[in-house]
Amino acid sequence: MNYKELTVYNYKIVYYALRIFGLYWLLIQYFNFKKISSWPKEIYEPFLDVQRFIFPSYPSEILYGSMLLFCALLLIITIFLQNYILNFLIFVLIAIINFPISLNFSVGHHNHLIIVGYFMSIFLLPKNLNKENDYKWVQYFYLGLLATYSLAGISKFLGIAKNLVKGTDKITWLHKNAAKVNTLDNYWMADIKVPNWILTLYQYENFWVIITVFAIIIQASSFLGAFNRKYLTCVMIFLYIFHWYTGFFVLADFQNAKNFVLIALFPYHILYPLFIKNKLFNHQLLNKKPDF
Amino acid sequence: MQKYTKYLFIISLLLSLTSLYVIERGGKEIYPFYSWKLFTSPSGNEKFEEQYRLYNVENNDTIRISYQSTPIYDENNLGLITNFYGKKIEKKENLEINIRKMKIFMKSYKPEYTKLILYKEKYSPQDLGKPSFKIYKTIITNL
Repeated sequence: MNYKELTVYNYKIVYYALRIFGLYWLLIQYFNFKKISSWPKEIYEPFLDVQRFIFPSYPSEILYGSMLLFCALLLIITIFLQNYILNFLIFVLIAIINFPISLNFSVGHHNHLIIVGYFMSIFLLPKNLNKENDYKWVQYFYLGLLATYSLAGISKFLGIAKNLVKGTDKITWLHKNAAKVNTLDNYWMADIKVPNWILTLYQYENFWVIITVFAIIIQASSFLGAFNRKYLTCVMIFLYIFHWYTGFFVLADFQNAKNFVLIALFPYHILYPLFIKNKLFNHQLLNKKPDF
Repeated sequence: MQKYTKYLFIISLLLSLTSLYVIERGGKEIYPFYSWKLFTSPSGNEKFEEQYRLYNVENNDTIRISYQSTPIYDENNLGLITNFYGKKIEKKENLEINIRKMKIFMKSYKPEYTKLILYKEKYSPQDLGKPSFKIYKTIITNL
């Protein structure tokens, strides 16, 4: 397969993988919902006005459960019936389902990437992706996802530049202990003791400056992955490790986003030849006469 | 129809940039299109940072209430909620309601703590983990 073909091929698998992942995501949200439901009813603080409009109080299990089931039903239907309107509905529902989970008291961004993913895939149906130039629209899908990381990376560069130009005494990412202070402060705010293995790793001060700058460069340039398959795979691996790092070192739980990165950006085409070979292999096995 | 994906990308990017503009002016993001301005500087980049903490009076001692995850709250939840109501109480925003909510919240976390005092703590993040680390406490109110 050439680049154009394999880009479309990969998306066709992503389309189905997103349905399966969506079902898993809904299940996780149900558990999160159950946990927050045990909080006293009085301490519900919706972050957005639109959220207060949809859920004036914390939703009941019947209401929230029905939304989850309806969304699950749409995900399953769209496995068999590819439809733009249903895709749009899935996007809206997932955005609403995220309200009681991530937007209570403040806004958490660990599910935003997933919502953007369903938004970017509204017009991409596998059955219609059969023209030579269709790979371009898949590139926009990747671009929509990766732009979020690039914006985060670029804003770090701007943050460094701003503090250097203004000559503030703030710590920037170029500071020797930037990553360490970042970790210690997040652990302090959560009132958790920093594990010793993390402190040991932070003893390599110069190493962390290099790693930090390298990571910001990759993060800022991750949008380029939309145009090059090999780089996209590199970006996928980087983002996975990056989310793993923030989970342990900054206590930022991007568990679902981390899995979503794998599902959406995975180079499924590398499995294609394997699949063909195995089929032939199986075929030969079946025709082979027993030795005894 | 797939060609419209291009416009979805443009919409997504434009709304993200609009979110950036709105948030910089003290507004909220255009959900779900966030500006992605995250950690532009490390957390704890300022000379001093502040947080609200609850203390409990036990036998004439004032004990700082620690965050321990429970089946319904994790440490981040506890910090987030304490800071949310702490800030509102200090600003005297719907004071009675927010004091009541803070107490309801604490009752669901540690019902045995009944003599609560709200403090604002100031500390230098750069001193974290060092012997020179100090917390500067300011009392806000008894709850």
